Amino acid sequence: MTVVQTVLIYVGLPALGTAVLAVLVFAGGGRRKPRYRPGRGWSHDDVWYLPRPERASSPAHDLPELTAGVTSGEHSLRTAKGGASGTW
Amino acid sequence: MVPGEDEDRSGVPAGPFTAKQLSRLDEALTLSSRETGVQFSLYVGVLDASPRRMAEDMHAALGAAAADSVLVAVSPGERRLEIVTGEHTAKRLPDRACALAALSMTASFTGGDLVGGIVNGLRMLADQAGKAALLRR
Repeated sequence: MTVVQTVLIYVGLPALGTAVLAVLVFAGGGRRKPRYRPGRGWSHDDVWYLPRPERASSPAHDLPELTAGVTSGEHSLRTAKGGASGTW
Repeated sequence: MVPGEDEDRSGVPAGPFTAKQLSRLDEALTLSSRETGVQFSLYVGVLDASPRRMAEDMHAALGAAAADSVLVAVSPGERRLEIVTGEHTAKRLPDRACALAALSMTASFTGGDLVGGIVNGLRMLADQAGKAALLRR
């Protein structure tokens, strides 16, 4: 075996393998979705989802209109009857 | 803040979830609500210094629908979860059942699985609430 062959086999092949692995690992990493990690904080906007109405085509569905959008402050009406809390 | 304002209409979902996660949440919310006749709503965001109070205020903001509603409020930042039941829904979902769902959800949240925890929690609540038809007629 010549010196060139030796170098190609013992240096070139491992380098090539490492490069292929690196490409596989980091490919597509740019558009990875943001993942929630407990304790890292949460900087997204607040969202509030309701179930889809039965007939999505009709804009005026049976659900009553929301009358208040303010969540802090006093509501004279208490609607909560029970529930549960949790922390993690 | 109005429920549904962050609905994805432009093709690019606003908010903290990807389109796939949103569709899972939408399916869970819609199916549990249709099965049970209970209107489940989900809030993900900041809950201020008194989270229970804020969650109850949000439940009150649902207005006439509040009695038949269950609000699930998740604050990933403060690591806090609140489940609020209304006048009618409290009968179908006793506090013990809510606590069990909350436990399951927080277990998933601890592992970083926000959407999975929410979906499973909604499923547990819906299972506990039972079918709408059995209770109404």
